[in-house]
Amino acid sequence: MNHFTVLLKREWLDARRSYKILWLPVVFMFLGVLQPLSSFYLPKILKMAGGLPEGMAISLPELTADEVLAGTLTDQFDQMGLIVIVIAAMGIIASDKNNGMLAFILTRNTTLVEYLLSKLLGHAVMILGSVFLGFLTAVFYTFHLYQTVSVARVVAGLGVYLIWSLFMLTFVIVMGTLLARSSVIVLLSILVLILLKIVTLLGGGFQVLNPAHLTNQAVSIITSGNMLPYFFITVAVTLSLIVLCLLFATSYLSRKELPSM
Amino acid sequence: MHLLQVSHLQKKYGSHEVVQNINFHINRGECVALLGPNGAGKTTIIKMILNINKLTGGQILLNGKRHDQMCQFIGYLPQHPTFDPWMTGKELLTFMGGLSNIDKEVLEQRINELLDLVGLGGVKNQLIGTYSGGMKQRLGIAQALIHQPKLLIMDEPVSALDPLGRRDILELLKVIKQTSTILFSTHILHDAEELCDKILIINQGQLLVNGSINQIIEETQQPIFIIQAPRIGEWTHELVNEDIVESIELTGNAAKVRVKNIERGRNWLLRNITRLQLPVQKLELVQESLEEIFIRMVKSS
Repeated sequence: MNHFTVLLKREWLDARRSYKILWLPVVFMFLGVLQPLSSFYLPKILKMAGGLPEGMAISLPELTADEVLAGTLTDQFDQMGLIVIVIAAMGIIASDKNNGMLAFILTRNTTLVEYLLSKLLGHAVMILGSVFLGFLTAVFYTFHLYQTVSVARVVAGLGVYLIWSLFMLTFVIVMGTLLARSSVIVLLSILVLILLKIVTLLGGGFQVLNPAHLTNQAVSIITSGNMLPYFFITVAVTLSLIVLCLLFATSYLSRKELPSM
Repeated sequence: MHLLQVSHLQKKYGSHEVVQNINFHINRGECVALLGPNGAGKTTIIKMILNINKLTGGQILLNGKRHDQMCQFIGYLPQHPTFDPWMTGKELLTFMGGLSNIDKEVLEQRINELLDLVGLGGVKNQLIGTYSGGMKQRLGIAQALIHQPKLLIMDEPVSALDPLGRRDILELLKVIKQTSTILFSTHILHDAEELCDKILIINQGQLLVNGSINQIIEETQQPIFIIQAPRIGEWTHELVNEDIVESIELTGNAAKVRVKNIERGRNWLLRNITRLQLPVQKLELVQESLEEIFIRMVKSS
């Protein structure tokens, strides 16, 4: 057995013992249900709740199935989902670093690359899997309440969105290597990731270089079946940012003297 | 060739030198204690040997090779082992053993042997979070031994334990000592005296003494005369003589006179006792204990 599989097994055990493997998919599935259900039943809920003055008419836009799915990504996953990802990943490096487990693991001839990759892979499977399951739930309810959407478009859109999710995870991991306190890690990660999101609203050419722009690409693929311009550049930039983040984390940790017990 | 050879070891944080030019070596089969008050630099030295902290000067050779390539030959017990509390004892050993590239079948057998050795066989499937301090320490020793290291390094293995737990671990170390080379740090002299062949006394990053316990006692021990007399304090200033007397310490009616040379010291003292007509109740010659040597060395450095 090599170091990497041993480290992965530890991640798997941790995920089971901390019930992360359970609550993470459940949260995303809940978020996935929320969008189709709320958009479908909102008019009825408003009507039943009453309280609207006589003669007042609210015109809610008739949503199509693909718009509901796109809304799941932009309104649920990119907001609550983003916060959930940050919280799920906030402690994965910092806790090992602070309690000395990392220094200890490294005394066994384990390399930082093996260690970081085991963390990334372990959580990527869990988080991307949860996003996948969550979106699957959204698709199921959307197909049930609205109508079906081209499966190819949904799959492609989700695939693009998963790259953005992977970037979010990597970013939190890097914050975890740089900082020690989880509260600061959470705050800064959420701040930066939300900022990237807000910047995409401004539009403009430089969005091409913004990983958060991948959500817009995903939305476009799901609703129209077409990519926005410069799709591959954004993907390439995001992937290279992920690799750069990991390289940076490795070199930072190898130069820094780790706290140990 | 020595198992561990440390030469001109130095560690600086900025301009602050926490370890200064330390040289020592450990032979196979030896049990060596690193003694020193808190903050002396013991842990820093240990972490440098383990390559957790980087050296800023000097070199460490393990089995003749640079230490940073030899991590797998060292078993390490940290000062406050905080192993993942969500693992069971057995899972931790499986994890650490896996990181040390031990075959699965061999590992399984070794884990059971070690758990029995450290007396955790009955709780191996309980979460580490439920273990007591002593149990964690024993688990720590088991994980340090899992890959049959050439050198076992322990940072304060018994300092945090209650007297009972301390006794347990010391007995366990006596067993382990027969088959391993051990380096451990402590600020409790008694433990070093009980377990070790060799001690290194460190203070403020400097190596003060290095040698076997008997050798240290022989070489550095100073004879002490205890003079008991009423109101001895009024006379002590008469006994000061820089050539002969090292120090005088008063406790109640007794003065502890530390002399540099036993013959000259005795003559000089007896002469003065008659000259001053001291009402002596008791005059005794004692040898310094290891603890007194330790305290004297640490204070004078």
